[in-house]
Amino acid sequence: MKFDVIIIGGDPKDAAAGLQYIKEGKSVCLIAKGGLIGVSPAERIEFASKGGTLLCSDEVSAVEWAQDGTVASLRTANLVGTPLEAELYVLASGRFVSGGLKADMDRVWEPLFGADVQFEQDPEKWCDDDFFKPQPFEKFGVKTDSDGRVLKGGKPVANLIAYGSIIAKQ
Amino acid sequence: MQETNISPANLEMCLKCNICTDVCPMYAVNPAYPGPKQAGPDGERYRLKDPEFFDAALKYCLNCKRCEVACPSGVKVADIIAVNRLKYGKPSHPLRDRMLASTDFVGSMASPFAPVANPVLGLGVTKSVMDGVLGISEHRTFPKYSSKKFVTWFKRHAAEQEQFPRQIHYFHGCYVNYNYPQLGKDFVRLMNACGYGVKLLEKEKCCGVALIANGFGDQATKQAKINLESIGKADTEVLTTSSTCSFTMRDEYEGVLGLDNSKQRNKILLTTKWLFDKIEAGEIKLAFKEDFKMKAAYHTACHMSKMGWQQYSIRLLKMIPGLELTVLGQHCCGISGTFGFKKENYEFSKEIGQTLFDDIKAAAPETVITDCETCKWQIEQFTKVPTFNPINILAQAIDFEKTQTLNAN
Repeated sequence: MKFDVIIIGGDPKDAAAGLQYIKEGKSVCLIAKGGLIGVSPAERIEFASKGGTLLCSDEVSAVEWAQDGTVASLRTANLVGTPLEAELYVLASGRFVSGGLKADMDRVWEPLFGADVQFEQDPEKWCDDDFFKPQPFEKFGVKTDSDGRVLKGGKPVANLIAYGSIIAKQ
Repeated sequence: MQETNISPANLEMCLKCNICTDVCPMYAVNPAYPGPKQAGPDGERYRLKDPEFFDAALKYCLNCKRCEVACPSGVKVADIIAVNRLKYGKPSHPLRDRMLASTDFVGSMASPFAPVANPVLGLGVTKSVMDGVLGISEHRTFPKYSSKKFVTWFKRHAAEQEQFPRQIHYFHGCYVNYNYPQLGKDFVRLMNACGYGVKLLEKEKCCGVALIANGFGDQATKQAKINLESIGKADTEVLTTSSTCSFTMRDEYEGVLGLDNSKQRNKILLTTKWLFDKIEAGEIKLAFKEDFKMKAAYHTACHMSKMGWQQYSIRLLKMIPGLELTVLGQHCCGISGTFGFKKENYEFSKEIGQTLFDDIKAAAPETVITDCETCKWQIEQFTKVPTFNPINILAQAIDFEKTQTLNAN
């Protein structure tokens, strides 16, 4: 199944990103994993009504890579057996609750593409004791270059950009 | 950690956000239904302590699975409800429920007498009696029984089918066999055009969806085991032309009946999905008639939406050059299989479907297209627009000879 843009959703603003691409005349697919509560269902409905392909309650099950290091296609849990291909892939999978980032006791990672993730190496420094202060873990996220392309092994993936809360903050 | 401590049907993952209740078509029209959150994960916490907490209002669940599609936490809300209904529910009208659920038995009884049964079932007096005695709504018209079963027709053509170099299995389902053999015939024609001969399973029973919905879990399990065994033995994928048959065998056998279908699950495919994948992979080509013209609207059945497979049917239909297609918003039609036939549910069934009926009237199509046979009955009853399966439309729209030539090698 071919599209101009595939958005790997989960971020509260995933459908908003999709709508933007639709305005540019692109064919867009949004793989809309549940994500957070209140994840702008109105925008998702608008996205679908304007011709976007909304894969509700679905998630990426595998990524296929081209030899030049770009993303070749994705597979999802529901559309098993059907490769989804696009010119551009947008990683808008949100952070921890929506599963865009995974963490265990001493490591944070991005599970789909193995993107480079910026996080504090010392787990003691992930949280501030003062609950009401900005928490250091809120800055964790995937690393991107100046064009927003996701870095993997220090190099940008040419057809994969990051969008929304998954991007690392300074 | 939570991720290593997952409860059955993901019960513990419920965050109480209520989005399931928000999307529930039944909760919107029926104040007696507590909604999926209460009926599902909330009620389950009580029922685990004491089955006395089982609420008979769970019978109102349509099993449309919209709650599960909406759930951000992957809770199998409708599975929880379905399992409890099988465990603790009591049929409100045992004879009627048994009759509605036994699609195989009733179909095989009615088919030989179809020329008499159809007009008699359509008579006002029959409807009044069924309404009064059996609790089947007098406003409903039974789908017509066919005097010749699909299987009888197929057996006469089985030898021709074996001549094709490539083969595919077909799970026809009760509706094709007893009511609408034309869909099965269209399926065979389409497969033949694509260079495939059709085989039936060694044994096929009703998928069991109506048995599950009416509380006959033991019978459903018995039939499911027979189907799983036959599907396991099949040497090709097994295609269906019903979204609900596919969904039941892929998801309900495991989620509701607790059977292991892991070996068979990915072999069970809806024809439109299989065909789309084959076309994308360049293994099948379709050629369409130049003079085919139709204005149609596509309705996504709830179980289709749960599987996420409407894309396949929509994209296949969009390949037909002469088809002007409107894709309708995803609203439940309200029939939910046998549910809408029951007298006490008729008004709910009608009210739930109203948004869809209004959308269809606004789109003013010549035909509605949907992958579900019971959606077809409901849409035809309330909008009077003839409704077909995508396979009917594809079989009509293809240029048979050209398609056969394209797929000859």
